[in-house]
Amino acid sequence: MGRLADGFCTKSRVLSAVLLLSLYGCGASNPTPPAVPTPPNSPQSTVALTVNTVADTDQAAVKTVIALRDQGKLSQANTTTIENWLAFVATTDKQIAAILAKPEPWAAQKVEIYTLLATVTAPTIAGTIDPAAQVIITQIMTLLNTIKTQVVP
Amino acid sequence: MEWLTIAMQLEPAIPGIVASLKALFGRHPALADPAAQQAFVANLAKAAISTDDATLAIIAADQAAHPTK
Repeated sequence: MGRLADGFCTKSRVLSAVLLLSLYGCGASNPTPPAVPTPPNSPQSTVALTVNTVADTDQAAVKTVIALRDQGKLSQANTTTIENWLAFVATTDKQIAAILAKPEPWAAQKVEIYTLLATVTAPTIAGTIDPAAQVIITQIMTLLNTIKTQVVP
Repeated sequence: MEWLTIAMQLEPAIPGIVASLKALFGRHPALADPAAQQAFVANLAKAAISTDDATLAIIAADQAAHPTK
């Protein structure tokens, strides 16, 4: 009886050890899979993201210019000049968005967008303007130039 | 584009949320799929046009209220 019990205990210990080893082995044979690299955006996606940023920035710029005028920091004449330019930027941005939405090859879209952007230049402001208004113009010109570099032939 | 519309509404309260979400969605793995890319571009274009239209309306209203002498 004693020998039988001893044998049973020995077998149990061996089985436990095998079970533990197999569990450890399972963990070791299934390492964490390597992270899948994020695919790069298509050129259209990159331009579309910038075009959308231009739209947001342009609208924020209009609100800032109006606020500066209302605070007496910008003359009505300069406000109108900047607003007219911001309206031109909004119209151009809309045209670029419309080009991107067309079912055309990217090569054709690039040329159309590049040609369109060639017409945009910074506004001519009479005298010195509030630094905040100048920053707005610079920001938008930088964004438009970013699009230009993204579509350069 | 629903997430963008919501983010734009939240932007005044949480500055930078639009840019953050755009960066996040702009790198979404689903964009590896050309059809998803195309839909993504179309939605962004639609959102940009909508924002630009609103901007033009703000300018028109302001210039009507403050005509240049």
